[in-house]
This record gives sequence, structure tokens and C-alpha cells, in this order.
Amino acid sequence: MKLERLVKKAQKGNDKAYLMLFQQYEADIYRMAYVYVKNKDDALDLVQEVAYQSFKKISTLKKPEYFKTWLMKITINCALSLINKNKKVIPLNLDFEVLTGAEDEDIALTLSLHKLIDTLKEDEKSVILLKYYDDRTLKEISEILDIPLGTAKSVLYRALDKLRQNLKEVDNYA
Amino acid sequence: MHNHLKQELSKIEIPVEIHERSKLGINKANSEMGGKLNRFVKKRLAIAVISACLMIPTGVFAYQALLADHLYGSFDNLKKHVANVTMESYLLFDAKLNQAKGDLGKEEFEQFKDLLNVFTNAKLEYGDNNGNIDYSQLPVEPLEKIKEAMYEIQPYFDKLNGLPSSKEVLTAEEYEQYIQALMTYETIMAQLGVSSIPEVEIIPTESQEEFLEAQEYLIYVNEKQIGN
Repeated sequence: MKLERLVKKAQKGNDKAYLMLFQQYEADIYRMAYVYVKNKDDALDLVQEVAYQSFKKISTLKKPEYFKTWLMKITINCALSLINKNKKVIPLNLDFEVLTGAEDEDIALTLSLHKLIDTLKEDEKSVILLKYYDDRTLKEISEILDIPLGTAKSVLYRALDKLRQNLKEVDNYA
Repeated sequence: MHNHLKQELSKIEIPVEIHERSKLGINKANSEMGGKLNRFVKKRLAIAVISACLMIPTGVFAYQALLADHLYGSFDNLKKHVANVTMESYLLFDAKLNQAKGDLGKEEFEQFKDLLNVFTNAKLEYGDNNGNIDYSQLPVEPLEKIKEAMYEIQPYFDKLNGLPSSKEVLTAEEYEQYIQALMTYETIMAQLGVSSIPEVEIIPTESQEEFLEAQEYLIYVNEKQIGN
């Protein structure tokens, strides 16, 4: 299997093999990251950080078939820690950030995606992304995020509720 | 919902520089891991070998740690207790068990006991809190005495560890170097005040090379002993 071979090579320290492997997932990683950090620069920083951290820790990955799941987990953790860091650094500029952020690159996104990004809390984003973007089951999600199955379920339903409300709002305006 | 989200997310455009950023991240990790192929694996192998190897050179140290940590809390405390219960008697206890197993003959055991005596006294007199001796600070006379005891005692430890005697496996010259490497190790540990083998990073640069050389040699001897 190709994936497995690349993982094995990477685990022996082969950076070229790892680059090949990683590039297959970088778009997914970028998009997931974007949902959390809401801007291109931070999302790109996250891609770089995930590439860095994952290659450093690749030797600890026991089952190559879980590579993607493992990457997603690292992505989520990196995104959350970046968000926490930013929270500490720039709480005063928050309004300003939102306003300017809304104008430039985000404009290409549709309203519903925008709402998804803006209305959900971090934990809700994680569950939604894993469930609908990465096609994980609730059980897998609870394992990836290290939360009880029940919590994963309630977070998912809460998030879906919020999204439905938003969709309704969008419909009303339209 | 399912496809909807994927569709929505696919609207997030992927910037062209993304490949570059992936590469940067991987390169950074790579350079920190020491670049060149297998260093990662090699390092892990080395650690495995070293821990196996430590059973041999640190036959004495291992007891030290055991005694100090489990029974007395520290080597200092052990020193206080030593009037009543000597470290030697613990070592002999284990040796006795081994003797019972037939590892050491009776005569061998007696010799071992005498050598151990020299060793234990040296540890208590010159050792630091962890029982390690900085040989570079030792006066010539005790240094020679300890060294001599070390020459003699190492084969016993080999035997107790179930390995062929390093004295026999190695040439006289190699054996000399081996003992020297053991002493270098202990000296560096004493200078750093650590109780276990330190990471290379925390060793002062001027001693690093010496340490690595000693380490390499210990690995070499160990490999030879296990028959490679």
C-alpha cells in the first residue's frame, strides 16, 4: 500500500517521502484550519505548524492507516492553541479585527459558510468538521477529541441547531 | 448537510503558497531532528543499546539508585545509615543470590566481596549525592586504587549480568579504554550532579566530545559482548 510505505519511510526520517504524503492532505488541513482562524495568513501558518509537528512526531504513529485521522487531530489542536494564544494577545482589537476581516478575502465565501465559521464555538467546529468534512463517526470523533461519546453527541446536536437557525435566517433574508 | 458542508468548504480557496509552507514546516522539523537519514531511528537504537549497556557498566550504580531511591530517599541519607546497614551488604546479598544460582563460584564470590569493599568505601568517601565520583578531582593514590579495583571487578559484573567477561572479549588495550570510558561517564555525571545518564544537550560543550566518545565505546563493547 502506498500510504503505508510512505509513512514507514517518513518514520525512518525520510523528509521527501513525508512531503509527498503530507501534500495529499494539505488542502484539507488548510480548509479545516481556516474554519477556526478565519483568515488566510493564520491558516497558512497552521499548515506549516502541522507539517512541522507531525513530521517531528511521525515515529509515534503506530498504525499508518490512521495517518489522516492523526493529522486532523494535530490540526485541531494546533488551531485551538493558536486561537487561545491570539485571545490573550489581542482582545482589545476584537471589533476592529472582525470588521476588517469581513471585508477582504472572506468576501468570496458565501454567507452560510461565513455563518458556520462565525457562529459556532471551537468545540462545535471540531465536531462538525470531523463529522461532515472528514466523515467520522461519533465514536471516532469522541476518540479523536478525547471527549466522552455523550459529549460529542450533544455538541453535535447543539451545533446543528445553531446552523439550522442560521440557515433559516438566511432563507428569511433571501 | 453532508455534501452541503463539503461544498461550502470547497469554496475556501487554497492559496498557491501552501506547498511552500508545508515544505518549510517539514524542513524545520527535519533540521531539528538532525537532518540526515535515520538519525531518529539511530538515536532510539542508541538509547536502547545504552540502557542495555548500562546494566553492565553501572552494575554498581544500579544498586546505588535502587538503594538511594527506594530505601533511603537519597545517597546522603544512605551515608548516614551506612554505619548500620552497609551498601556493601546489599550488594553482597544480590551476589549471594547469584552465587546460589551458580553464577559465581565460592572463591569468586570471596574475591568479589573484597573488591566490592574497596569500591563501596570509595563511593562513600568520594561520591556525590548520587554516589558518582568525579575522578578528575581525586588524589592520585585513591584514584589508582579504585581504578585497579575497577579493572578487577568489571568481569564480575559482566558475569552477574549474564554476559561474557569484557576482560576476555576485549584486548588488554581495549579493556583499558573501556574502564576509562566508564570512568569518564561517571565523572561527567558527577560534574553535572545527575543520577542518570544525561542528554548530550545538557553537557557543557567542552565535555560533550569526551562524553560521546565514551558512549560510543561503551556501545561498541556492549555489542561485542552480545556477540555482534
